[in-house]
Amino acid sequence: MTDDKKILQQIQILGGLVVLWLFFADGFILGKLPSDIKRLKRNIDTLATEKQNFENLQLDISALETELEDSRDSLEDLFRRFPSTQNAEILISQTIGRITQKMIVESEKTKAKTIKTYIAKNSEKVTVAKVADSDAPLEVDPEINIAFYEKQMTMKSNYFELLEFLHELANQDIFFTPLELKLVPNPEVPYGMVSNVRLLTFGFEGFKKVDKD
Amino acid sequence: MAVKFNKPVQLMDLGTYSIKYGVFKMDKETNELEAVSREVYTVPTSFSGVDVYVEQFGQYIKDIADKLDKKLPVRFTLSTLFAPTNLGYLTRIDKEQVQTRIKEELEKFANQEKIPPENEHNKFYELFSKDMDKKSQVIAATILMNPKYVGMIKNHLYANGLKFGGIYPVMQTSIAMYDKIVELNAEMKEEPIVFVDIGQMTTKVNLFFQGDLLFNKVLHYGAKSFYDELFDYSNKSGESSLSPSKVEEVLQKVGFTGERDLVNQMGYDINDPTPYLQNLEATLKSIFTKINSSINYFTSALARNFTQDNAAFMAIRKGAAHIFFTGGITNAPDFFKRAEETFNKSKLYAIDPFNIKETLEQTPEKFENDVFRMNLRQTSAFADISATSLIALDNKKDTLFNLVSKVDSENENIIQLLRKTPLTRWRDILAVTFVVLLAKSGWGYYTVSSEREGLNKQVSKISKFTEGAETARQKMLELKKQDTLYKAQLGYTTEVMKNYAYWPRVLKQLMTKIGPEIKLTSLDFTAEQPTFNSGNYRKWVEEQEEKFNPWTGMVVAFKFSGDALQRADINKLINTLIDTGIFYIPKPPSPKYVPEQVTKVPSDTKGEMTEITISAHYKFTMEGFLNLDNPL
Repeated sequence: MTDDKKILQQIQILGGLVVLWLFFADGFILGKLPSDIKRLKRNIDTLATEKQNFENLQLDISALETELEDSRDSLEDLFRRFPSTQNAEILISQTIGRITQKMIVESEKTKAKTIKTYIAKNSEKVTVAKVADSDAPLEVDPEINIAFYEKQMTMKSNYFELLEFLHELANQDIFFTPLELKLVPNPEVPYGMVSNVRLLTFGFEGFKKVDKD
Repeated sequence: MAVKFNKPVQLMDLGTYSIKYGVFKMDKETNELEAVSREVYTVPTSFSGVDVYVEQFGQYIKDIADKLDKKLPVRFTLSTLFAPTNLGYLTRIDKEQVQTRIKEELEKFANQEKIPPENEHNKFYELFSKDMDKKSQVIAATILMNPKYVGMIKNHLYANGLKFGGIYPVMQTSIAMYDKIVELNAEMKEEPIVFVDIGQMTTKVNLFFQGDLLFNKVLHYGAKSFYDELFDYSNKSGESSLSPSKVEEVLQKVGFTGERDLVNQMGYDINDPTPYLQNLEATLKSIFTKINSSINYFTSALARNFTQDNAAFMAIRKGAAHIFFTGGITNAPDFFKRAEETFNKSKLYAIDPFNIKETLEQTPEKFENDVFRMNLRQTSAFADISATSLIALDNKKDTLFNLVSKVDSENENIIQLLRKTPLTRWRDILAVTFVVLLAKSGWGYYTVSSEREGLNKQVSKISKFTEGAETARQKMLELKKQDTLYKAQLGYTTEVMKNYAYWPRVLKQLMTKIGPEIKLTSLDFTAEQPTFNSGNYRKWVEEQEEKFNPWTGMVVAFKFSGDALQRADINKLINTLIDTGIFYIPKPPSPKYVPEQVTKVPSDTKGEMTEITISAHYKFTMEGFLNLDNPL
């Protein structure tokens, strides 16, 4: 083989290699790296947004915690007067029994607990912002269940005992409000009164939806 | 002559002693060749054959490449050593056979030189033709060019990034110079003119007459002969020999003046310079004699064959009317004095290639002028280049006389350059390209994989920040629920407390206002709790109209029934109650009059009845609402 032929052969081999290399080498060597990088960059953008969302969420949590802490201090005493515990009815009976000791209770009737739904004015759905797009939506309807307890009594007493009863009623740990107060004079005793009282108290049981769940 | 003016052309004269090169152009105003740049490169090694020379030309071109213009192709003038030239004299041959015979001459000549006759660079030119009846007298030049040399010269150029512009045989340059001279002096056309170029190895003799080159002779004597003869003399006489450079120095400074003192002043290791000077003069005379013999041979023996015109024949017989000398030896002192001794019938000239007009006006006195000789020394070497320029700048002649048809264009594009790149260069380029690609791919992989690693770390780092996100969201939900619950509790409680009755106070207020004129029969209080109508809620949210307000406030109503002795007592009671600010009675009651009644009721005594009188009175029932403060 002459030198020229050898060189030509070398050129052909090198040319082939160069062409192959140009068209295929990068794809072969790099494999999925470029697509990985694109994916990772997209991930980073998404994660940066999620991080920002998370930081915002943490700030909101912190602010709300502080706000609730302040509210709790001022409202806890108030809310304690509205029972919604399992033994609320027992507590109510005990309290009523205590304040009617001086009265002649002729009849007494306790109505079964009723539940009503309530939404505070200007309340919207309780929602939590997503940190990641894939996060499940967190939302709760702002419907609050209120438990109502009613007790109806017919009592005999004199006027002053009735006043004392009403005074006691207003100063219990449990909030009571008379839904009805019917007074009829009792001529049998001086300043006698026959009173028919329907008392109500209520307590907040929480979210309606949560209860359903 | 269609010579292009002011167009630069790059030329190189490959001489055995020196290489002359530069960029030249024809000045339009002076109609003379002007050197844009010109250089003389002395060949560092002595001439030892064309093959060796062309091989070593690679080194020579490397030395001078920086001074060459890479955009302009290099056009070469090659002496007869490289491009052997033969003038064929064809006498009384059939007209039809002229071409065949010329071709045969070329084949014969090519066989002698051991060059393939079919070689594309081999050329033959019909220089002279005279028809006589059915016969012709023809002079044809056959020029051979070894393709191996063309290839080697090209490769050397390309290796240095230079372009190849072709090769012009030196014989054609003589023709061009002759044309230029007769163009300037038309009378000379009718006289025999001889060009004598004394080179290093050979002396070329060309005789022109009536516009045609009629005779050419290459004598294998030249400037080197002076050294050779002196060397022979020294050997034979036992005297010290002089080196070629010293011989050149003596020729340039002392020349053929015979001035011994000048030689002595040079301080060479020789006893007596006289025989040396005599030897130099004898060599010159010998060269002149050979030149003269050649001319005489033509003028006496051959001339008749080419003209039947007696006047012309007689003109030739007189010998050369003008002899134009070129070559480095011509500027040696007293060269022309010696020449005049030999060529006493001719007018002599030393060609200044950059001033042909002035060349024609030269006088013998001028040859002794040192300034003239100094200028001649610098310019005479460019005689062949000057004549080649005249060909190269004339498109028609350029195509005709360039021995190489495939040359590089001045405005060569990149594709043409690539096409002409030698195979080895291509291989090297591809190898380098491949290595670069390998390195690029490696670097690419390194950078890309590093970037991916970096991004992976970044992703992992950022991911950690949001690890507790779901827990936080749940916490936020609970907090918000707590907040909503608080708001609802507070809202409802506020609503309930808005009209909250502190019953002992209400009752006391009422009782104290009832005087003895009024008898209470019944008292009812009814409280209507705040309610929320979920059915209205959606409409209220959407339309915000008060009629859809789902919330109702706390309302406490009362109903008072009693008896009054007088009607005015009822009104008095109403006013008194309204004045408290607690009781709101929107509509006054309609009392009913009950006249006095006497009824009998059983007395305490058995069987007896007691009469009871009930005074006349008014029964009434009034209704209203309580308007209480909000203790919250």
